[in-house]
Formats: sequence, C-alpha cells, structure tokens
Amino acid sequence: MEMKVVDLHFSYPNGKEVIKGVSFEVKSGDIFCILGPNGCGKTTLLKCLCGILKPTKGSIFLDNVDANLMSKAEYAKNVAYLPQEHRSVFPYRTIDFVVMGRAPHLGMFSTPSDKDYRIAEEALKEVGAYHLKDRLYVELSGGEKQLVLIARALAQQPKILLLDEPTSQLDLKNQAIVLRILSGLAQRGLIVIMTTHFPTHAFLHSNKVGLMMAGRFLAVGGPEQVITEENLKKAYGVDVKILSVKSPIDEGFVKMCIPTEVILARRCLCRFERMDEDAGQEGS
Amino acid sequence: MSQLYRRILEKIRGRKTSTVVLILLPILFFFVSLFVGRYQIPPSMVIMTLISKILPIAHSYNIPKPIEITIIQVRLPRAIAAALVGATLALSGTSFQALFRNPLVSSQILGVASGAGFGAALALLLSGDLAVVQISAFGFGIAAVVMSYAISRVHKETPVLTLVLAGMVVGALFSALTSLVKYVADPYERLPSIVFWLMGSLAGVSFKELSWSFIPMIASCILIVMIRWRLNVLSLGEEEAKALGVDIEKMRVLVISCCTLMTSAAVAIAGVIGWVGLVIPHVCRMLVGPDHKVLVPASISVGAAYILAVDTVARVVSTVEIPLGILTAIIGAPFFFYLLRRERLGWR
Repeated sequence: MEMKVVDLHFSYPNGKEVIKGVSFEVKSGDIFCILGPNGCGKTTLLKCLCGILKPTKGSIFLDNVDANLMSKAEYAKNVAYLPQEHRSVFPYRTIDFVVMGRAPHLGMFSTPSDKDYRIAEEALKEVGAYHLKDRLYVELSGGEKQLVLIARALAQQPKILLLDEPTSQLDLKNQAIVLRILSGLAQRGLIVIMTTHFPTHAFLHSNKVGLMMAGRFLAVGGPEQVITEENLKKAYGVDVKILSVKSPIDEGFVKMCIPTEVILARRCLCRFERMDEDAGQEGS
Repeated sequence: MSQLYRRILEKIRGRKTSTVVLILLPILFFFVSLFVGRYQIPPSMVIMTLISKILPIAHSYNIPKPIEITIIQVRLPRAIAAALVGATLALSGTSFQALFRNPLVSSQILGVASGAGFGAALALLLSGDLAVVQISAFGFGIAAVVMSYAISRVHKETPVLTLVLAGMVVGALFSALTSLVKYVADPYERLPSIVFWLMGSLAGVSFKELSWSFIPMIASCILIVMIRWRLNVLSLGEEEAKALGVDIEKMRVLVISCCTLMTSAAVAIAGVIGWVGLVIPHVCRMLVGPDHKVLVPASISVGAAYILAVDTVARVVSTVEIPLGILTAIIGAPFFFYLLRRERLGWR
C-alpha cells in the first residue's frame, strides 16, 4: 500500500484556509509523525486524510487510485482514524464498541455476524485488551480507552492508521505500550500516520517526520534531517537542544529534545528555593 | 457437535428471560385490553368471537351481535392502534436519542407534535370532519419537520445543534399558531373538540383510520429495524461515523424521515401523547443495554405494551374516559424522576 498526497488545501466555509498545500508520500511499514505547534493544522490535516473533511483542493491517492473515485465505505476499509478522545453518550460494552469498526465492511441493512465479533475480539487481543471485552467503555481508564480505540480501528482492517495525538493523554507506561503497538503494526505492513507533541517520540519510533507550520510542511523526511535545532526553533519559536544519548540497551544512540527555556526556568526555581532556605536559617 | 450445542445454549441463556418477556408482554396486554372494558364480556366469549372471524367453523357458536360489535369494531381496532402508536412513539424516541447523541430528546424534538397539533386544530376549526383532521395533522407534522430541517441546513450540512434549535423554533411557532386557532375558535362547539384532541385519546379509532395510517407506521418501523445497528455507529458522533465510512447525511435524512412519518401518523390517529418517546427508551436501556441491535426491538415491544396498558386503564378506571396524553404524563413524569434518581441510568 502506498499513500500519496498531492498539494492538499483545505479552507473552512468561512473562508479561512487552514491547510495550504501539503504533499507527502508514505508506503507500507512507514510510521509518519506529524509535528507542529498548536493550531498549525495537524488535526485538520488528519481529518482531511480520513474523509471527515473534504479537501478544497488537491488529491489523495491510495495505490495510485484517486480517493475521490472511491465510495466512503471503500475508503474507510483502507483508512482508519482515531480521534484525540472519544466522548461517548451511551455506555456500550467494549466489544460492542470495537465491533463498530466493522461498519465499512457491513451493508446498511446488516448487523455484525459472529465473524465480525471474532474479528473484533482478535483486534482486542492484538492490543492486549481482551480482558476488557465485557466492561463498559465509559468506565475504562484513559490508557485502556486508547487501547480499545486502537482495537476498533484495527477491526476496520485498514491499511492506513491515522492517529491524532495518541499519546498526549497517557502516562509513561501507557505511552510506551501504545508506541510499541504502533511499531508492531508498522512492522506488519500498516502505514501509521500520527500527530504528536513529543519530538523525542518521533526520534524513537518513526522513520518519517513532517514538521508543520501554519498549514504547510516546513520539512518532510527522515527524523534526523527534519528534527533539527534550527527547524524546531523556526516552527515553535523556542530554543531547543537536541542531545544524543548512548542507548542503555544496545549499541546505538538515542536522540532527545530539551527546550532550553525549561532548563532556564528550572534554574530560576532553584534560586528561589535557595533564597527560601536562607530565610529559614535566619529565622532559627 | 457438543460445542455447537453449548454455544447455542449460551446464546439463549444470555438473553433468554428478557427476550421471552419482551415478546410476551405486548401480546399479554393486547389480550387484556380486549378482555376488559366497561361492557363486561367473559374472556372465553372474546376468544370465540375472534376465532369466529378467522375460522368459518366457529360460526356455529351463537355470538350476540352487540358483543361482536364491541370486540371487532371497538376494542380490536383500538388495541391495534394503541400497540402501533406506542411502538412508533417509543421507537422514534430511541432513534432520535441515538441520532442526536442525547438521551434527553424525544420523538417530538423536531416539532412534529406541535405541527400535527396545529394541523388538527386548524382542521377542527374549519371542517370538523375526522378524515380531514387526520390528514391535516399528518401533513402539518411532516411539514414542521421539513421546516426544521430546511432552516438548519447550511453549507449542504445540517449540524445537530442547529437542527435541535430549529426544531424548538418551529415547535414554538406552531404552538403559537395553535393558540391562535384556539383563541378564534367558537368556545362552545369547536374549542372543546380542539382541546380534547390535543390531550390525546384513542377513543373512536376504527379500522378506517388504521387502514391508511398503519402503512407509514409499519413501513418506517421495518426500515428502522433494518438499519438498527447503524444507529450505534451514528451515536458515536458525526465525525467518527464519517471516518467509519457512513454517509451521515443520508442516514440522518433516512432516520428523520422514518421517525417523522410514523410519529405524524401516530399523532394523527391518537392526538398528542407525550413522555412515551422519552421514558420508554430509558426503560429499555435499563432492561437490555444500549446496543441498538437489541434496543430497537425492545423499544417497539415495551412501547406497544405500555400504551396498551395505559389505554386500558384510561378506558376502565372511571366512567368517563381519561385522555391518554394526561395519563402518560402523570405516569411518565414521576417515573422519569425515579429513573434519574437511580444510579444506573443507562447513559452518562
């Protein structure tokens, strides 16, 4: 599978252009991380890619077939989308929730069969959430919800997975679990396209990065070329240091980003603490 | 083989009790409403009368004419109408709650009852002929929803919030028009009939009314039952349903059309009956859970049983019939309060 996006534009009905010409190409096994400051159009871009929003200009090709020529259901069989968070109204059982991912495969008048439930169960097993099968989705923790959402997307049996900040609301352990699952899916041949706020994550598990700014890609390519101190400064407007640390478990190196402003802020804080200590000593 | 048997057994056991109860409940109340009434007829006689209509052999039993007329021409059409009205109101409530992702909307959210009420009031003012009243109510009910839908449509889309607000606006407009009709109506002849009609009642329903109104009701019911699983997907929200490849605009038009058709038909033959479309879906969600695959048939069954029971009470409890709409509100409002107080409401 190969996805090619050519000169994508999107404007809201009020005329505000949010996506101003985005092009990129991804193929089977790629993990494509989209970085960029808040409000630069990352979420809008994902919504254009999954068919929620209709691009005003430009095309999306799946294996050289224009997405405009596909039916909505046919497109959804190839592309699954995970929202930043799902706000449910009715307390569906997790398995009933996951089986909704089968919607593009089912006709309008059909209900899911035993086979569809089996596929949903397999998807839950794949993300390690099978034990949640009979629990109510609304009662799950944030991390469990994210896993179940991924399972629903997998039940769709897509070739491309779009995720909107899948790790932003998770704790350290759940971040690791989700990133591991995504890497596994990419190894299996899926295309993973995700937005994130953590450049370090992009270094850790993606092989392609797009840095967005004001509706355009500032740079697209391998993480090493795209995530540089100058680029991050340009996109976010803050000074960032990129450190190379020797990997604790193998021979390679791990890169990480540290915004210098945070270090400066920390220093101020230390100074205040020291002053507090001085004041305390004087008192005694 | 034994594995297959075990799986089948599991399936039955899981929903056995609720399925049996849900199938038997409306049938039970249907017969109860045929058996009881102010004109007392022993149940065996009722059964005989019914059989004599289906099987020619039963003609040999001598059935008095008044009994036959009471059963066949009064109670039977009324019971059928009660079942249909209850089923459709509850079903459209369930469908709208899924479509609007809000457990507090009912079948009347888009102004169908206000429109139909105005249509009926206008027809009662101008003509008073029952057929005209029903057709006018049916037509204005549909017109109100079409209006709500049309004014909320912007940029080829209909955002849910705008749709709900448009429904409120249209509902308020038609309520005002109904008041106007009441104000100008002759207070000794026309006004009482308008007021009674608006309270809702199944008195005087005959096969003539049923013969036209059951078509839109049954057809819409069948359609909603067929697409019931899609209601699950719709209830995820507009964006997620779209991302799952669902043509949301098409589905919305389909669901709204079906609900409007059946609600308008129900209001046309029974008047304005509130609280059914709000309370019954909640009761069903407590019984079978929120999965529309099961919830939709359950709503039909419980809704039918509920109106059958309430209508029987309305007929029997006093010498003068109590208007159905008043009874459903008197029962529905406190019951809904009880549901709200319970911890497990079936949504949160």
